[in-house]
Amino acid sequence: MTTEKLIEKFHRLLNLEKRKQKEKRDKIRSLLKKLKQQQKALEAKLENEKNTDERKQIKRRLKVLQVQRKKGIKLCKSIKC
Amino acid sequence: MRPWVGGGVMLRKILLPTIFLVLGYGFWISPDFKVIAAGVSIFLFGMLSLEEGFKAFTGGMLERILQRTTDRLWKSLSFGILTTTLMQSSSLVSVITISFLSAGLIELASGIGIIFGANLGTTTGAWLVAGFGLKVKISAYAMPMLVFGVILIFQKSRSWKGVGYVLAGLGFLFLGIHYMKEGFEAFKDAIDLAAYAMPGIKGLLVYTLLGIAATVVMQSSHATLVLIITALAAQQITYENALALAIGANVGTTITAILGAMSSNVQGRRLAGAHLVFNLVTGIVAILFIHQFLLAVNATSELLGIADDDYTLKLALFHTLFNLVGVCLMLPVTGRLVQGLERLMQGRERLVDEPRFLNEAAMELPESAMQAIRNEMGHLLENAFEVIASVLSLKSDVMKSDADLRGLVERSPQVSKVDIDALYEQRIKSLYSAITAYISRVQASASEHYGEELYQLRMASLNIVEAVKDIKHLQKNLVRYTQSDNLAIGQQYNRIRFQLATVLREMTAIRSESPAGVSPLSLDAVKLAIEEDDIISNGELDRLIRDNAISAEMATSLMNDSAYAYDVADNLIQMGRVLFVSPGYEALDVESELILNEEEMSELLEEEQKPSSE
Repeated sequence: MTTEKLIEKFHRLLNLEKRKQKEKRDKIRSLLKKLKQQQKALEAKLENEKNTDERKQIKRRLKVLQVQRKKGIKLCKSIKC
Repeated sequence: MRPWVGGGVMLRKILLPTIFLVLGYGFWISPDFKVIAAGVSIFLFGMLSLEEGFKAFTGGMLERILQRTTDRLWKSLSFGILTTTLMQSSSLVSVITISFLSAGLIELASGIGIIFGANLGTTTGAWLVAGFGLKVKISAYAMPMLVFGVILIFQKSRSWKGVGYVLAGLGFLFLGIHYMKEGFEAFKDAIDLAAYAMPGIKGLLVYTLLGIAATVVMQSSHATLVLIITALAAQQITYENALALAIGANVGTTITAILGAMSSNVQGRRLAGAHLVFNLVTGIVAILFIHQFLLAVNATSELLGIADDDYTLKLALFHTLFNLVGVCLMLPVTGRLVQGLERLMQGRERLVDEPRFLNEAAMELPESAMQAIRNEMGHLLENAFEVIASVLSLKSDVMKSDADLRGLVERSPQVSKVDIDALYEQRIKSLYSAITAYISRVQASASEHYGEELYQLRMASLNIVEAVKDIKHLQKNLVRYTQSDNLAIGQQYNRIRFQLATVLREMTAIRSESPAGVSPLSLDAVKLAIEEDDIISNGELDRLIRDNAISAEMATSLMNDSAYAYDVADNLIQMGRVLFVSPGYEALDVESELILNEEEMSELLEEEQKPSSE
């Protein structure tokens, strides 16, 4: 039984496809984290910004970030991360 | 230093009113001076028109003909001799050469060759007058040239327009020279050649100066020579004094080229400089070796069978000989003359920008070659940003600063025209060509692994060039409508200015935030900004038409130009997705999947157009 398990583990390790998927999951997780950080930084910037044009620009960036994050979360779920 | 800087600004401010005052006073006290000044103005206008005409032929047949006929020194020399013999005016050939040079049709060295040739060609005039008493009077053609020229300018075809400008330019040149001569008539009488015969070295120098003065006054060495030969034939002046006058006439004739170079760019001024150097050196040599020249003239006269007392033909021979010696002396140092003039007269405008990173050493390894291409494209992009900013009448460093862009646009709402064709030639074209050629060479030697990236880079550099071309299309109406009395259309064009300036600034910021490699996601917000500003989809254009704020013609211009502005920004964003993102960027594959597609963009836009809380 233990030998079988070992073989299975070894097999899993060699499975390139799965390894790639794991890499992708890691990348998405770290990207989502990065996007969240960017969002927080922009929100903080928006609070202190007085210039109307700048505020508009920050709000736009925030909206885009939200959609990008939503897309990222969806992607993450699709590959079960 | 500071007081001087202030003084310089002050001087510049008072210079123009002072010139106007002095000229006005001159016109008031002397009608002759008025005619001379008008002559100079018409002449300069002719130069501008001539340049405009030759520009129509750049890149075409004339360029090829000129390049083929002037690519070697002997060819440009022969070209100068032939054209001057036919036109019987070295001044005209030299001003046309200056306009060729200014339009970028020929190189400085070729121009110098033509000028040298023109100096030889002009000596045929003395032979014609002395030998046959012939005189080709080109000024009689001025009026028909102007008429035909102006008719052709009204034609639609670019080539006919070009021919029209050239003809009108020549007509104005002749007319200008004619008025200058007319104006100087009063002064001409004062130069009585027969009155003061002078022997020896003193006579030589005084008559050389007289020759210079007479030619400056009459605007033609040809006319001076006719005068000298007539005076000599009538024995009003001595043979020696006549020789000195001929030397002076040769130096004085450069005044026309110097006048012509006033309206020209640095290349034209360099050529006028070369003309002056050549004629001065020739003149000095002729004065220093006058006795040797006299001996040579006598010997050659005997060979040619010219009678000992036929001084008019001997004068023609002397004129040819000393110009020939001048050409022989100056030809070997043409290269040095070009270098010296380029060093002495530095162009205020930056000449054609050279590639900084594309070298042979980088070609050794594919990685270094790829990096060289990326660096050079960065260089090209910086230049493109400068060009776009200058069309928007904004300084390029504004893009790197925190200055309030809207404030800047509002404070200077009128856009002035820039010569974007020249900017494209100087700042973009050479780099783009070099990058394209370099990519092809790398593609031939590097492995297939780099094929896709090279293709992407090639497309990205095309995007940069397309952005510059789009801004060129935009410029015409940007200038026209920001200067219009209709405030609404002016505001719309200033909105385009602000929008494009924002794109440039955001892209500059994105690039500088992480120079090692930018996330492709960061460009989505820029893309959304330009979509939001689409005047057709956001209903602004309809409102302006409904309210009669702008005419139908303005509306169509605005629609077209909004599309150009969109293309400028879109090309830059597409370029940014390739050039700003490092090829080794780890999360590139994942991030590319998160880039917003058109549907998501539209959803965001719809959301944006709903009334917001702020």
